[in-house]
Amino acid sequence: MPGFISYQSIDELNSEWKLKIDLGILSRQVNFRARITEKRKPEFLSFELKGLDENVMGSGVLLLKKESITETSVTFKISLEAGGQSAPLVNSLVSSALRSQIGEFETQLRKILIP
Amino acid sequence: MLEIGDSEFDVVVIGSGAGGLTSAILAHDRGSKTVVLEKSRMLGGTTSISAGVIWIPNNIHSLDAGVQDTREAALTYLRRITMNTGDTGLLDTFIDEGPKMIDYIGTHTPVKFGVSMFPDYHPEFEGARHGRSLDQEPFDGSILPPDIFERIRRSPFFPPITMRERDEWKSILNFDFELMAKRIENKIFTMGSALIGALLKGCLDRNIRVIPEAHVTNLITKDGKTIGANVKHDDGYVAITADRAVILASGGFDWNDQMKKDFLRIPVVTPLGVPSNEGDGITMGIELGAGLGNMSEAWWSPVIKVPGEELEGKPLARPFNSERALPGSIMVNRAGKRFVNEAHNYNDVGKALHTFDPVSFEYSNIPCFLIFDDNYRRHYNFLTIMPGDPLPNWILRKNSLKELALELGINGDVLSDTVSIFNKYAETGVDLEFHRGASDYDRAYGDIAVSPNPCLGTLAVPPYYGVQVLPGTLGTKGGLKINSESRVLNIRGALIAGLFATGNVTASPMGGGYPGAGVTIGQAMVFGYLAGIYSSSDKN
Repeated sequence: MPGFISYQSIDELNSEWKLKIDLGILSRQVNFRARITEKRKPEFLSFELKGLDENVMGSGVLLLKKESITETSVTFKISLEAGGQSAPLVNSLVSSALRSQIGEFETQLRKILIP
Repeated sequence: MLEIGDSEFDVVVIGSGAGGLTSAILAHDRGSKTVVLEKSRMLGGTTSISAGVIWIPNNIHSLDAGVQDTREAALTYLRRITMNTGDTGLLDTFIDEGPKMIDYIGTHTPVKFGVSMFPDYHPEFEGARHGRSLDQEPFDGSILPPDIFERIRRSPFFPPITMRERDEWKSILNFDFELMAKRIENKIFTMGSALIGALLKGCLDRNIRVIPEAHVTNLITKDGKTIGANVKHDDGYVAITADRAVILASGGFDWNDQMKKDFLRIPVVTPLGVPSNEGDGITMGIELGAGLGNMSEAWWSPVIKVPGEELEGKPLARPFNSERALPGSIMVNRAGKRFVNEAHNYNDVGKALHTFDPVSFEYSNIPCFLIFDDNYRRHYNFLTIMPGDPLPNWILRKNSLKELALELGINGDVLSDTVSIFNKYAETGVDLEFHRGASDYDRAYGDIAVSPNPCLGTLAVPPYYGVQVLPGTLGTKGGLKINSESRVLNIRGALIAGLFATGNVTASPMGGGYPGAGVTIGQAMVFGYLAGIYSSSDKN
């Protein structure tokens, strides 16, 4: 996972993540609290994110779908939204950063799944 | 990767900051086939992450805006602020050639100047003025080729606004964040990136090649004349010839730990410039016998390190100006004492961190600390943290000054006394010790809604907050000695044929002084302008 620094499980539903996010103008370590809002094993997971040091909230979904004996499609959606007065600027920076970082995530995931 | 292609040129410019690009434009316009080589994958050097302001006394834009300026006033001010530590002959050159450079660049490139009425950094000195600093108009980056646009840095320090907008809006709390978001989405550059974008457009319009990731490892000489450079590029080496001259514009040595240890006057200095400032040009000049000057000096600044922030893989520190000038903050050392007018310009506050105590045999003010109370926190930003934002864990918060002092390693009793005394100053509006808020410079960063002194407010509302402050630099300013034609001089004062230099790779004529906002870029562009002209003259 691009930018991954560390992960700490708090309980079955809650965890804390340290990620390095490249905002283009700089890269920055962001600490998130993640809370799983729904889990249907083995194919569905939804979660919420809250910035611990930043005025940022988010949510995401991971969906796995069996296509055939040998193929599984993976859908990962994530949205982040800054709050506070500087939100428009931060959202603009995060928007392009997230696109680039998710693209990298997809590439790396493909390499792992399809060696 | 942009290919070098041709390897035969008249003039080779090393470095793509404002000084390098200005010299390339002038060299081209004087008939030289010119190339710009940049070591980094990103273009624009430290200029690109700066405010992009250019300090040029007596320039036409400021005069048109009503600034009453003269050559003599500027020289009087410069002699005072440099304390005669700089090269007085080069100061004359700077004053005389600066307005010509501004005329030329403003007329012959897409660079568009506006006038910032910001005060000189010691407005109380004779000859000081408001309005000598030129700001950049926003520049539309979408007109650049995509592979060039993507390689221009945006500043990690400044939001996408102009300096005049900053002057007008005063506080970050008044900034137009919607406008900033639109500027990013629409590829609009401001400040340093606008200056670099416009200068790059000027280069591209002239078919001047600007090559990133082209690391010059050494200069090539023949019969005592500089005739080219060996370049590491695309996993190989290329020899680039320069029939007329090589112009060094490769920045200072702020990211070279060994050179900092060898030359600077204090042992550890945190850099704010781009990581490619590793002293390459100075090293190459020394190899050819160049004389050095001003090596212990830098454009100083106090800095705060934000854990986890990086620029191009290197730790990023932040300068801070308003945080030192707004009501409700003070700076103290480990003894718990204030030691400077916190609101003073960053260069002079930076120097105050260098004080050495011969009794304790240590630097009294390294580290020092910025302390503020909850009233400050609720009213003002702190770096990028706005009122109401979560408090990051690198800012210490305690319910009393004594607890804060204990945690930070400050003498708590003295800190309490210091704050009591400071609070009395805040009530009267007069800082009897350090005169904070007495000058126009201080007040430019204060809160005009606060009276009687926009820079003074009590620290009386808990909790209290503290962060460590360290000595830093915007860039070093010691380097190769040059003459009034930007020709590099050897250790005995004779010319090194075919070698020119400008910017932080040179010994700054400003000595230990920092006259006003934008003098770093102003100096680089003036001597870059001259390097471009004389590198292409018949004398070469």
